[in-house]
Amino acid sequence: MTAHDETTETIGGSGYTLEDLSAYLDRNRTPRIAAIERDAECQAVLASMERMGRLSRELVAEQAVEPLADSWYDDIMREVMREFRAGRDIPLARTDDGTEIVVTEGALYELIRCVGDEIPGVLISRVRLDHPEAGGPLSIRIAMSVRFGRRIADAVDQLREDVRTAVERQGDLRVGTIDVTVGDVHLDEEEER
Amino acid sequence: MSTLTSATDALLASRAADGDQLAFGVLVRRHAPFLVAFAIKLTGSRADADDCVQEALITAWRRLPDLAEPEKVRSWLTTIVSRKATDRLRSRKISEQIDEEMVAAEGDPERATVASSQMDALKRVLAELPEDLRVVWVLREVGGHSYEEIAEEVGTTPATVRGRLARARKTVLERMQEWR
Repeated sequence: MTAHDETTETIGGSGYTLEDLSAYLDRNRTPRIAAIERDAECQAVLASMERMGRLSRELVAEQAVEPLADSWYDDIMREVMREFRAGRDIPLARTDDGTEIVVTEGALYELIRCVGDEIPGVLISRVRLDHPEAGGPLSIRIAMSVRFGRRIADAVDQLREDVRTAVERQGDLRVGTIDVTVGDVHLDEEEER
Repeated sequence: MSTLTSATDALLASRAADGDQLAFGVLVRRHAPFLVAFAIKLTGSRADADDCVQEALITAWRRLPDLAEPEKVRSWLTTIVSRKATDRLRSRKISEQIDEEMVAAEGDPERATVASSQMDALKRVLAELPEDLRVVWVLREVGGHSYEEIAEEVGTTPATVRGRLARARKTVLERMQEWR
């Protein structure tokens, strides 16, 4: 690379190079360097760098609105659907001949999400199960989101009741405590319109 | 009833980490168009971008249970995409494929939208930048990654990243002079 093509020439009267200015910009211009902030030529270079950065973000954002074909998503989702995360087995019941019937953690998560999502204004986030010993009750922890304006206490009560009923209906499994945390609030799309 | 499309990123990422494939699907539809546009800028090729993002999303599905901050899922996905893209660039270099196809893909008239001619000019300038400069530019300006993160992604030192970014900026400023 020839000398004049380098980024090591100083800009204006600042004593700083283009590489210095570039790094200064990326540190959000802190700590402030007076020699750069006072120099008109440096200011012009910094402003141009910022503008080109902004423009390249706009360029990507513009291309990002082009929709992708459904087949594009199908390729990914096919793979994802193949990789079901089952988790641990949880004993559900024992038949008279001693056969143990189990349910996977993953299946219980799914059940709890479905039950919760059925409740108006509720969306289930994370689910965690604590199953200390065989035959003991199952403790459930649920994080959820409540629609803006929905009474939280009512939603939590209904969730507890519905989850307990749904899980216990599956077999001999007994549900102990159900801890619910509301970590999120959402708006329904239909209501925003 | 509330539907998943009204859920926050954090909620969708948490559910997906618990194994909810539908929530993952909603998340993917929300962010894939940006990720593809980002990967096109990194790799310079639509076909490579599609492959990188698809691979990245499948990797993401597997690694979601390890994601500590589900609300940051978008930037986490962007990082996985940059890794896949830089890996691909490295292997492309090893197999000594010439970058002609990239320039051709960038100049593809079909992709030229109603963008201002200033945008078109920048698009051309970025496509013509040497690959090592273009990658640090895109990771920094579009991805918002730090010098340290970029260094790790492209397998070099933060000092080299700093130098390349300065050269990239200098080149862009010079070639975009009439638009400054």
